[in-house]
Amino acid sequence: MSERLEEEKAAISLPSEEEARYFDSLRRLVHGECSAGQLLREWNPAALDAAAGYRLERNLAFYARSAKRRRLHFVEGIFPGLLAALDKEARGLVESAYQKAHGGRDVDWLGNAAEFRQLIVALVEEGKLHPCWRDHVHHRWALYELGLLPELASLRQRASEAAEGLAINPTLRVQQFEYDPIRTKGEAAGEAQLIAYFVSPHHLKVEWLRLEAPVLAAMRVVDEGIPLAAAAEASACSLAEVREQMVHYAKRGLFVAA
Amino acid sequence: METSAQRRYRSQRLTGSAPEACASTRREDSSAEREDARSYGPNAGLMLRHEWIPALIEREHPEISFIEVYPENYMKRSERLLLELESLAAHYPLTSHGVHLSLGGVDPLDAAYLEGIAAFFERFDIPWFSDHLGASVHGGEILHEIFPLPLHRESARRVAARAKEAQARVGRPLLLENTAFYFLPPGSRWSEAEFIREVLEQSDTALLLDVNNLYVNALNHGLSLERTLNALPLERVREIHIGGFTVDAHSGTLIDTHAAAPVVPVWQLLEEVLRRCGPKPVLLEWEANYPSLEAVKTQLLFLEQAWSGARSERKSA
Repeated sequence: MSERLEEEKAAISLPSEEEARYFDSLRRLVHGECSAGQLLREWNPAALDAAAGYRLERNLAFYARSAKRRRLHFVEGIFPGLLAALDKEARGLVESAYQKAHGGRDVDWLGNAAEFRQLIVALVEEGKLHPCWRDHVHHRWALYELGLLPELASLRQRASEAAEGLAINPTLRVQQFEYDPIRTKGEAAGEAQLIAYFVSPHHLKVEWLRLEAPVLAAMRVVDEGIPLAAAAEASACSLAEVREQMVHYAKRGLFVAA
Repeated sequence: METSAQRRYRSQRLTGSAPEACASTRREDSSAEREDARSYGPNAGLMLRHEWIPALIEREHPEISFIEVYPENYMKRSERLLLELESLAAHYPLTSHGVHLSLGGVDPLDAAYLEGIAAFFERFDIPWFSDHLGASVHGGEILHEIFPLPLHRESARRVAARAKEAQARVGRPLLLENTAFYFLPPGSRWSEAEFIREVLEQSDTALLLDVNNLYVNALNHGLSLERTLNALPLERVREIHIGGFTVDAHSGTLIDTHAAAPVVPVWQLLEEVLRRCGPKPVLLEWEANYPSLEAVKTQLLFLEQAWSGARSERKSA
């Protein structure tokens, strides 16, 4: 290939200034930096009559709405309540952080949310978000990865029922805490990881625990709703050990295990 | 009162039988014919909704010949999700339809993404991959939409160079999908069909023809479907998508949402496309408001009917 053709080829693969300006105007539109009307004026489509201009503006506005819907659906889908709980400034930060994160098209939003979580953590480290949000997104992410977000309501219900069975004051627990236990696949016999998650109006807490057999059994009582005796037998430990674990953790506010 | 969109919708009918008619006249293929049809290659595919996985692997669904996935939904994810997908792959061939390549954008191609999808395809034995003739990333930021590209020669050549590069780096055939666009970008001088032809020929890539997008564009922009079909490089079609649209309440524009069943004229358009380009794999897309898997399977029967009809015509021709 001649030098001239090589140069031509390289030039073709680069965007023209016009194209670069076009894409940047779209970026500004979907990120709310300009309105559809402003964009239309910038493009100055002189050949359009008023009706066509109006239609173009409405369609540009559609793109802006659709992009925003997808963005918020993602955040709310994985981190329910997060945006609502943030003040306006923090909400802006989170939304802005998300704009730089990967997203997918899928309405299930099984997309690349890991980067979003990292961005939240970065905002915490920069002191722009309260540290509780770091724990919150870690926890939510773990639940999400394990496919347990849809099951939270049922897990909470089972935890509440188990608390009643142990004569723990469920009202107090429910008022002060929410409890979301999850399990990963057992890493070794009799062991598993557990996230205990507690919410009070001003407090979030996450703990990763390594579960010994009695703890695992106690967790199964709550998590799977099986009787204490059956859980103890399955984990090869005594009923007393399991009960002790449940009471111990319940007193600490870590309901699950124990 | 009938809206202008509805009027345009009515006026854009192609000849051919409606899906209802397809269903009622659906002949019972002999098992040999069916086996022969399957051996030709996959015909009726389904875009995966993750929650369908248990039902899909619980028992055999002969109506489904292949499953298509958004690779972004599984990349950089926990092994649990990938194992679920693996169990699905044991029952159905998988194909991939991406949204992050942003072939029409001006950012450099995302090397990490290309490596990621290549590894994903390797693991799940995915024979080809597809993405859109549009832009979804700019300045490193996700746009959350697939935006249309300026339709002119320079733009087509630039996109073709990027498509060629992406195909080479992934090491599998790349299919490019015609998108639904709701405005014509400034500086456009070509028709969409001319643009697509130039990109595909320059990059030697294949066409994933979305018939719903063709229909939506024709209605929204007052284009002739017949003229568009004549101008498209149908000889490069390797896969076809069909889905449903909804009408935007603000503008009356038909939007390719995949949130409804395909309408009758789109089924007819599919039949016409299959007549012209022969039996190619056809995928049904559902992205929102989707019905049960059983209801979706009924729609897949229409696909198979259209596909079998095209194949019979091709054989007798």
